[in-house]
Amino acid sequence: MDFSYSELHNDIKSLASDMLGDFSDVERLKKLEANGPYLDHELWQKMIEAGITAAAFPEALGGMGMDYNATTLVAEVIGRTMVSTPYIPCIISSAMPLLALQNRSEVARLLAQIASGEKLITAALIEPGNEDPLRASSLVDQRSKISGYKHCVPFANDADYLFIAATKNHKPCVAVLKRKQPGVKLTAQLSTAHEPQYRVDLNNADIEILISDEDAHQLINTAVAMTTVAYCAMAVGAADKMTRISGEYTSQRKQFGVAIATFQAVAHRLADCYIDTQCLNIITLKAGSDINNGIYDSEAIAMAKVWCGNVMHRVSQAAQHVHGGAGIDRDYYLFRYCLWAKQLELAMGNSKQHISKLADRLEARYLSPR
Amino acid sequence: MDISYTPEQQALKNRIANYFKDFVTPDLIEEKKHPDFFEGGGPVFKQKMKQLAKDGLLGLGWPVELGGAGIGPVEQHIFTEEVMSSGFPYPFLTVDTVGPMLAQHGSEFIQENIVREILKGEIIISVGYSEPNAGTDLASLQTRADRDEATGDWIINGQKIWTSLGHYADYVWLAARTNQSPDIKKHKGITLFLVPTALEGFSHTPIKTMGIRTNATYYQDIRLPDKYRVGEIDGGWQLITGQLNRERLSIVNPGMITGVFEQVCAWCATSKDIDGKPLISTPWIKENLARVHTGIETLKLLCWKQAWAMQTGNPDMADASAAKVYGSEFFVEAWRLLLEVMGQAGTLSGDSEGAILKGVLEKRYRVGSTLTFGGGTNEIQREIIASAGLWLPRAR
Repeated sequence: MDFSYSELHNDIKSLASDMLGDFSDVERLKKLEANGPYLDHELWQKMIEAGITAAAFPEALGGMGMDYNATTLVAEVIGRTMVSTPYIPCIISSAMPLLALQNRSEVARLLAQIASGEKLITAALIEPGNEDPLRASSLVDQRSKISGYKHCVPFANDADYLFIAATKNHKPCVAVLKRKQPGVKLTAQLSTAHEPQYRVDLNNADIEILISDEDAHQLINTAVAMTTVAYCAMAVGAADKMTRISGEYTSQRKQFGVAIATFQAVAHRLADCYIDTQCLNIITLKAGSDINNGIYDSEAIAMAKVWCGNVMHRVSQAAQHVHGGAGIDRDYYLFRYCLWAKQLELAMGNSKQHISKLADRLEARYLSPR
Repeated sequence: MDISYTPEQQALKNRIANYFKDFVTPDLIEEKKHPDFFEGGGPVFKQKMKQLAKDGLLGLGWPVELGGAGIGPVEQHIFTEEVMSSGFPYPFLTVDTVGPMLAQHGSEFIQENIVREILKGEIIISVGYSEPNAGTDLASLQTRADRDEATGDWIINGQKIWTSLGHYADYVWLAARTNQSPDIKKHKGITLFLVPTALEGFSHTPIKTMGIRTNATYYQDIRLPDKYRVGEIDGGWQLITGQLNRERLSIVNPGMITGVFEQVCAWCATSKDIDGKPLISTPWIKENLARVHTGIETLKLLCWKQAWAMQTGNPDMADASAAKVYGSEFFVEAWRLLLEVMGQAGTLSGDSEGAILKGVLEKRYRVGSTLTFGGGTNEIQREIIASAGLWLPRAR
């Protein structure tokens, strides 16, 4: 049992903290978001050059050979800084799961292009009316053309490739395809978090790489597990930051002649946020550790997402509450965290869904003959 | 970062779990039914304690030179989780909280004698902090210890309350005022003593509670040799906080619920409703169980992290308080969720006709309410988190 990070992990975290910290200056973010949802190209390029994006790729593909934990550290920093990059959909949801198939030359080629920053890929996991990627309604036909629709696809307009959960012969498959082609149509969507998101309509689109059968099942499970825990890690960063912003604000803000943080009701509410954040953090670390050890169906992953949903809801509201009106003001910086909190709560299954999944597993375990 | 047992830790866990499988024998279960012995103290309990010591299981994490196995706090935690899960009334206050403080700060006499006796399973220690007028504001305690300048002995006078196990303990770990000067801060005039309950002037009366027996203890002109003093004169406050930091972790040890949780799940799998369907297949029942399961796993991790942190240094103060608040409030909620599963039959007690799982949850409800205020009330823990974890300004 070891709760410490290696020196290399700490280096990646502090590198990411410094860089993303510099690029999340409030005035800068305001300028960038003035015209709506955006990708911070300048920062993304810096992250690629610094080796942050490909840190968990093997050296042969241009990475540093780090593990999944390294990527969750970056996700946590993103939650803390609220920068707008495609790190999670590109690196964690698409590239990391594909690493398992790097012995296929076309996969290795694509991964190397992602590592170098030459190409950007994003993941299309959910569709209107169905958020289970293992039961996607998008169909791959016998000629290996794909038709169907996806939505809430992050950064699709900037992506060169789409990683799409689909179905072929009634079985899950994954299609990797070029975004710029006649069979792919994008429609911008506006979401709470202001992440650039798109509906993707596919009409007999060409597929570059098709992964089917057992490989596909495993690939989707991996993508789901890694994305789920990445969101939990991002939530850890966001929860901690929201709590600390609130701590600073209530230590400055005076009413009745004293800092409002000296009121027990306020201090205790923030202490509860601290406790919530600790719980979310520890179960997320466990889930990440399990993924690192190859356990993609770990109960800890579902448990982490249960906590993620609950903690995002509670901490976001508590932070808003202790700020009074200041928290909702877009001139102040808390609102970005609170808007993302809702996406982190609802993406990759909400708390109830995951509790229900855990309940089914308990039932099966105790009813199975031992 | 690898949050799983090493093969050695897993083997230790299996060995200990196996050891405790049949450790709680019917005669101990019978003995625990007596209100005075629910938390240990009877003859069967005492014999079991000696057995534990003989089998080398007391003090796994203690230094070898004191008679322990010296294998570290994580291993000690693995042991405590299993022993608590077995239902044995493990005297964690003695072995896991006061014991280590004595090992670190006790006089040579205490280290050579009492610490060794703890590890032999021969003695039990009560904690004497609270007084009728000093609870959360512990530093205002009034029990006093005055030095007899002629002999160097201490003369102790006062009263303590909620002295659990005080009716059978061999010693009380007692906080007393040794400096009456109004010019010093009140927490700076307190000294810690180990008071043998066999001394003349010690007495106790029972306090019957909703769940278990506890005691008021009285100290009348007790003459105590200086060798029973622990730490510096007037230096007791840091021993109190040190002991309480350990107690906070002990009282939220997940072992308290892991065994019971498995029993309830198994009961839900084998019990059928009127339609012949296993209870565990009812959506709200399995959801209750899943919520408890999630809470237990989270608590385990928080405690593991604290044990791991002890290995490398001192655990973070705010994190220890966070674990205490979370754990204690989770337990209260968990007992509720598990009792809901049983329906009204959950209120049937102990040996009563129709009691489920020997009324184990019925009892938990009656003893569980102490958790949120015992070992330092949760409001104080939240204050600690606000100042040590979030650096919020203090009101005073």
